Amino acid sequence: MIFSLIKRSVAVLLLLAAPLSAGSDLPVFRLTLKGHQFAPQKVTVPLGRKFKLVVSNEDAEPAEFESFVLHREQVVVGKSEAVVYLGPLKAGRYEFIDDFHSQTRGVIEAAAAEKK
Amino acid sequence: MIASALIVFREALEAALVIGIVLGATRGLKGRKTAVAWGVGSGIMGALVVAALMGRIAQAASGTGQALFEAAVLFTAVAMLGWHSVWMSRHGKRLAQDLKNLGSDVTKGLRPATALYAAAALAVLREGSEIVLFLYGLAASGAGAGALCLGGLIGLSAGAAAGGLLYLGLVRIPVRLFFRVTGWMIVLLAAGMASQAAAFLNQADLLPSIKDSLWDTSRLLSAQSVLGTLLKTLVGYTPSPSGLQMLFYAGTIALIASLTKLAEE
Repeated sequence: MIFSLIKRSVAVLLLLAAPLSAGSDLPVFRLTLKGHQFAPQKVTVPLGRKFKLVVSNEDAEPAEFESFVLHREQVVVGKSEAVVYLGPLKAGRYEFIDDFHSQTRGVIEAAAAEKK
Repeated sequence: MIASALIVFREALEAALVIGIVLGATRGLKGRKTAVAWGVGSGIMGALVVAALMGRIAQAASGTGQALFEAAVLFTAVAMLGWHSVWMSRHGKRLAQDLKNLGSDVTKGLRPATALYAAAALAVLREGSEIVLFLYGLAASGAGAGALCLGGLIGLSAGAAAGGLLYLGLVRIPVRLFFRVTGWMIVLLAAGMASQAAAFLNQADLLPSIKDSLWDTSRLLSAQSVLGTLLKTLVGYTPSPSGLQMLFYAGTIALIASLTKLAEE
């Protein structure tokens, strides 16, 4: 019963989500977790622009991409990917961690864009 | 082991605080302990199911399924807490009266606070699924079973103890003030959950952040610290709230407060 409830609520949300998320023209950045290290450790993103961060977990164990300052929490189970939308950000450095392995850290840096 | 105990503690703390508030707020209602135990039990079962399905949930909605799922669970809990607040505005006086006259657990003829028990179950579901995934990850990476169990147990018991302390503190409040205090705690709990839910909808690109960061107090009080976690659950503390979060936080308080006023007649 719980299962069908979950499925149903996810399905309803999917319907709600479909027309709203345009998303496809956003810049995409990739972040990989391997051996409990983020690669790259610094993701440089454009200022004042929304972007899509694809977090790919190549380890076997689940991880949780979390940034307290950007209020983002995303579980990424082993050998899978998840998507986190972020921005537009002001100039600055924004830390994130793998909340399941708190030694695993990285940073997003929003800086004036180089030529596009 | 200490690291794992700490992580389990932080997650367990959030759920335990909600349970502590729910137990406090239902003071005087018959059968509430059984009901909360059922809520916690079903929350744990749900957490196992969610943890097992997390891979599939996350893949849904082009990779944003988990954020949508979390938002849905949080908004359901907010609705339950709000519903209870409105209900209390009608029955709180009588409850307080009975409590004063008769001591605890004797109130009859009041509808059980099902909505609150459900909110406790949802809190356990959400935090529990993270604990399960985290411990599963440790186990899969070959951490010793003994250290794992010990770390998990220490974290869980410390979290539960904090929830218990909160409850013991709450029941010491004089009856006269009691329902007003727990009432406000429930409203703030709901507002904090709504703000978290809003952040998840922003994470899934469904709502704009409006303003990314209204202020930043992460140097003063990190959200990762124990105090930060405590305040995150109790009053919705977040070190750098977005405009969207603020809107949902204030909106929830305003909505519950006005519904409560309306229900009072």
